[in-house]
This record gives sequence, C-alpha cells and structure tokens, in this order.
Amino acid sequence: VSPAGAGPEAGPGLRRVEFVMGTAISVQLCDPLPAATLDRLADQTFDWLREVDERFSTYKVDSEVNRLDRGELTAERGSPLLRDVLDACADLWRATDGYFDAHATGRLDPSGYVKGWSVQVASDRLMAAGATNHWVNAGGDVRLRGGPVPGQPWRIGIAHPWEKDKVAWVLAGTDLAVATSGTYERGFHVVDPHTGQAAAALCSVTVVGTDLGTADAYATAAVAMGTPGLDWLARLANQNGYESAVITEDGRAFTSAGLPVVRE
Amino acid sequence: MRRGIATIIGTAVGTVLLIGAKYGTHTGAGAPVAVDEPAQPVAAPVATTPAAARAKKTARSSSAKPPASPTPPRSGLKDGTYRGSGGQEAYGTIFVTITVQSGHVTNASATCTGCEGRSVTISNGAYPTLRQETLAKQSANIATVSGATETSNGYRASLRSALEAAQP
Repeated sequence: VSPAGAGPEAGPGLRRVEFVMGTAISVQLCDPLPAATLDRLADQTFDWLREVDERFSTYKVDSEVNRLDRGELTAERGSPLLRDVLDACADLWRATDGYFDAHATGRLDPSGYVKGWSVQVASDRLMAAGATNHWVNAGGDVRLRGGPVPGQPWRIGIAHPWEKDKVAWVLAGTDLAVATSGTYERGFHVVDPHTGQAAAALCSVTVVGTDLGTADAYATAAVAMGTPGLDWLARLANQNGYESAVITEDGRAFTSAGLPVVRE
Repeated sequence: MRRGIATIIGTAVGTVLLIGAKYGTHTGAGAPVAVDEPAQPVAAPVATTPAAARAKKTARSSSAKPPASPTPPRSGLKDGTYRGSGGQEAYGTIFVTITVQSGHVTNASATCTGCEGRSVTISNGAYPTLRQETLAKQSANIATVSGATETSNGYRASLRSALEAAQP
C-alpha cells in the first residue's frame, strides 16, 4: 500500500524489508560496496532491531521493559541500553511539558521513543561502517543519509492522511530524521497524559531534525497537545531547529519556515 | 457548502497566527472585542467574510517577502476595521478582526466565545507560529514515505492477516 511513485527501483545497492516491532522496517543501501558487505550490513541492522524489540517490546512477556514494569527488575540492574532509554524518556518528558510521557497509558511503554531511537542507532552504525548513502524506514519513521546517487539528495514523501496513494509534501535532504505521528488511522490514539483523553485536533504531525528518537517523541507530544501544539512546534523550530509539518483534522496544513520541503 | 465556509473561517484564523508573527503586534487577543454581542450566524453577514478571505490572500503573499520590501504587493483592500462572522470550532466560536491601512493588513486579532482558556493559545502572536498553506495531494517520485499509518492497530491487523495469507 505504498503511495504511487514511492519505490523507484534501486540501482546499485540493496533493499530489504523485514517485520519487526509490529511494523514493516525497510532498509535501502546505495553505496557501491561488495554484495556480501551489503548483505552483512543489512543482517546487522535487522539483528540490532530485533534485539531492541526483545528488550523493549510491551508485547513480549519477558522483555526488560515488562520485567521493569512488573517490578521484577530495577533500572539500576537493567542493561545500559534500558537506562539510556529511560533517561532519554525522562529528558523528553521535561522538554515537552509532560506531553511525551512513557507512562501515558498507565504503564511503562517507551515505544514512542524506542522505534525512532533504534533506527537512529542503526543508521549511525551504517555510517560508521562506510554505508554513507542509505535510508531506514521503520513504520513511517525515516532516517536518511546521503542520496540515491552521488550529489543527489533523498526525496521523502509525507503521507496524505486521507488519500492513501498521495503525499502532502516532499522533503529533500542528505542528513534528515523524519518522524510522523497522527490520529488518522482508526485504532491509533495518542493520549493527552494530562487529561487521559485521546487527542484529535492534529491529524498528522511530522517533525524533522537530526535525531530520530527525539523527532518521534516531539511529534507524539504535539499530537497529544492538540491545537496548542501548533505554537509549541513553532517555538521548537525557533529554539531547537526541529522543523515541522502539520495537518489538522479539518484539513488545514501548516509548516515551519525551515522545513526542507520541495516546492515544484 | 458547510465545509467550504468552515475552510474560509479556518484560513481566517490561520491568518491571525501569520500576521501576529509578522508584525509582532499583540492587541490583547485574550480581551474580547465585543463579548456582549450575540454570536452571529456563520452564513449571514456575507459582507464581512470576503474581507477576511481577502485578508488571507494579502497575508500569504506578503509573507513571502520581508516586511520592509520596497515595493509591497498591491492588495486592493479597503482601509478600515473588519470583524469576520463567527467561525465554529469544536470548542467555541472564533471571531477575527482585521485592520487595513494603506491597503495592507496591519493588525489582526481573534476572540473566541466559549473557548475558556484555549483561544489565547491559538490566537496571540507573542511568538513565531507555523505558516498555513494549502494541503496538497501529490504523486511524486520519492524514495520512501513518512506517515503514521504503519504504527496503527489497523495497520498491524492488516499486516498480520497479509502475513498469514502469505504463509506457504
């Protein structure tokens, strides 16, 4: 169900999709490396994402997150990765006036940060291994580096909430983290942690920056804020350089001034 | 029809954000202009709504240029103060008032009846705001898509069934 034009066939390199964390994760590598090297890098990427799922899934009974939530484990005795994630969630809780809340659903659920963070780490590792032209897309959260061919940026669509085969914007860049949160699919709710109610005013919020875990958390927080999230995102762009694109439930569209959008 | 009207009102409200940011003016959006006036029906005062709609155009075209542009675009607006008809939001009715001087919108403010603490957040121009634009529908040549669909329960359910169907 990918929008039209979403998949120009890859030239050199490798494209692989696997199902981890309850969603489809796609990896595109474009560097002219030996096939065996590209295969190994893709294997390592998905091994890492499966490790994250084992540790942080709320669906897996014996994940670290579930053991911590049940009181069978303390943060101090958890893995360094667990402590890093808990620290980051606490920082983001403060940075978002409490609107990003890993306890919003009444239990510990850091998945609003973990998906983006794990893709960010995967992309960082690919860079370090010499794969400097790639993108990783985990269920709509994208970290991209370089481009499809030397000197060309990647072009990334932002999904149109109601037209499944269309995009609302096209972004271009060589080093972007792009995260989208929204309410436009039935069954998916962002809860305002201050009221316990599902937030509805902002149908789709995309945040663009350098760190995908942070962008993911900011996008989720803005959806939870509802209409005041528009002003909060504007301040965020001014102060932190995280740009944004928003579609409201009544079909209005908003962008921050520095969004790397392609106007054709 | 109803949606068309809602769109006009919606863009008028967006104008407030834009102009407030541009001129850095804040005319006390929290203080209603005419609270004692009964809320006007959305469709009735036709004369006021086009003014708000034209104001939107002005604001958008001038936003593309710095305020100090030596040759500002001619907007054709008549000088004066115009109060738009009430725009229904889920949480209240919004009224936008604009001021036109020398053919350009120099101020805009919004009041909201029934909003109780929400209108101030969306209408004052004390800090920069996001720009409103037309929601586009594109079919573009792109590498991949960012969207919220794939984290939804609906997506997961569909994915699960697809994977089941794909079992050998």
